[in-house]
Order: sequence, then structure tokens, then C-alpha cells
Amino acid sequence: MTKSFDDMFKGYIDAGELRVPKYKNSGEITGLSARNDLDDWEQEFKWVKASGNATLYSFVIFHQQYYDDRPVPYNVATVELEEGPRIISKVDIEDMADLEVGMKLKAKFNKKDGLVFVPA
Amino acid sequence: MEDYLNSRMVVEPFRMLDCCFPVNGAAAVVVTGVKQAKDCKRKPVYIHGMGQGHAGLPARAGYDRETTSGAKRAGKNAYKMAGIKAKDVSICEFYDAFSYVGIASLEAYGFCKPGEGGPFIADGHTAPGGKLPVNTGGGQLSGYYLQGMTPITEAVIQGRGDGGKRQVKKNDVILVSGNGGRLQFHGSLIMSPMEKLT
Repeated sequence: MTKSFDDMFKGYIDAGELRVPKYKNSGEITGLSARNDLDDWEQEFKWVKASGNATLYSFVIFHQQYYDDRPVPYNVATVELEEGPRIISKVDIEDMADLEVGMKLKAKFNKKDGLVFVPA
Repeated sequence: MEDYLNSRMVVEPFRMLDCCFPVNGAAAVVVTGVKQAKDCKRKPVYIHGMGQGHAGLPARAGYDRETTSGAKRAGKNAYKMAGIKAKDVSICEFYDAFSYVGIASLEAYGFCKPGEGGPFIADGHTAPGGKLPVNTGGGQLSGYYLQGMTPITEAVIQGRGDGGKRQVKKNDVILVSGNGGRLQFHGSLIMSPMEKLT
């Protein structure tokens, strides 16, 4: 059985790689949620390495604690990759007051979160 | 405003009072043909237009899903079917499960330009006596959150003139909105106490 689109993405993250799906025919890089229901996506897509350069598209700050291992406040950010896809992630930043829509970010990997972004 | 500013942050910038609270309850409307409706005990409220818009969630650059939901397409289709334009709407009953949805809806349905929904509300245009009364029953935030039935029932109440103290005099064209998911699904109705709009 083929792995799901999400599993593939997360598998690369676990290996410390940020990859995005690219249509084999058109060369277009598509969104990460685009074809999650497709069983045979492997025939249509290949996963290419992303540069890790990104822009902060939007963010919120959680003040209500939902998970024991996630003390509040923490941010949840929509990050736009240089290649086009937007992903939900976190900006690792000392002072959240410094978060600003449009700021340049860079992908980084850490043990706890896997993929995060830091100011470029 | 003081209560609002004192309410705790849930997910910044949303405070507790920016989010509606689901309730248990029931409401029903009877949908029937125009001929049959004339035989009913109460005067009917007519549906003149309906539209849907399902924008999806394209997680890619170039799609601003936070500010361009399916509402725009749904509204356009409903206006077209009813043969009206945004300026003809006299009352709005929006599905406003979160405070910003009302602002975004004003913009999507063509009552204000993008970015002008907030000031439009602050200027009092959507308040009682304003030029475009919105969510005359308090909506989902201040009334009750019975999902899509909140705006629909209030449209029927206003259309029949049953609003009591909150009744809006000019009730000829009532816009109703509904949305679901993360705003990617949207539906609209144009309702009126008049059988013909023109």
C-alpha cells in the first residue's frame, strides 16, 4: 500500500528534509494538501527539495492550553514557502511581539517540533 | 466593550467573546410552494434567490482564503437569481460564529470594499437604526448559536414583521448567509415578505 501524501511529507521532515510535491508533467509545485486523497499520486508527483526560504503569511497566538506538552502562549503560523505552498508551522522566536506578517523566515529542524521556522 | 476587552484571549487575536457558544435547541421552517404558502395561516416570507460558493482550501501562494471565502460567489449567484444588487439589500442575517466573519461577510457581499468592513461597523451602519441593520436578533455571537437556523429564523421573523422592539421597518430585501468548515463552504438566500421584488 502506498504511503499517504501526509505521511510522505512527514517522513521527509523526520529525516530533516523539507520537500514539496511537484507535478511530473507540468513541473508545477502544488500545495501540500492538494491531492491527499489520491492513492496513486506517485505516478503524478515527485518530491523535490525546498530551499527553506519562506515568508510569514499569517499567525495566531494560542492562550488556551490544549496539550500538556505545549505550554501557552505559543504561536501557530501559516508560512509561505518560496516555492509556493503554504504550511501550518511554528516560528521559533524569542519575543512573539516581534512576529510580523511578511517577515522573512528560514526552515530549521529540531527534535521536539521537527520542522520550525526562524527569522531569516 | 469593557466586558469584551476583559474577556480572556483564546487564540490571539480572538478573545472568548469573539467566539460564539454552541447551544442545544431546535427551530424549524416550513418550505413550500408559493401557491401552497398562500393557504397557510401566517403570511409567507418568499425566497427570491439562492447561491452557493465553495472555495476550497488551496494551501498555496496567491489564494487569500482568509479574506476571499466562498461568500463572494454565493452572494453573486443569489443576487443574480433575485435580480437585485447589493445596494438593494435592507437587512443582513449573517452566520457569524466568530466576530470577524461578520466583517468579512460585509466585504464579500459587496457592502464595503476589502478592509472597510471594520470601520463600516464602527460607524454604526449595521446597528439598530443604521442604514444596513445586521444580525437583528443578536446573531450567533449575542443571540444564540443554532448554526444555520439562527440567521434563517431571524430572517423569517423580520420578514413577517414579528420582531417586536427590534423589528426593522424597511424589511423588503433580507440577505441570509450560511457557512461551514473553515469558511470554505458558503450558501446565501435572498428573502422578502413581498412576492415580487420589482
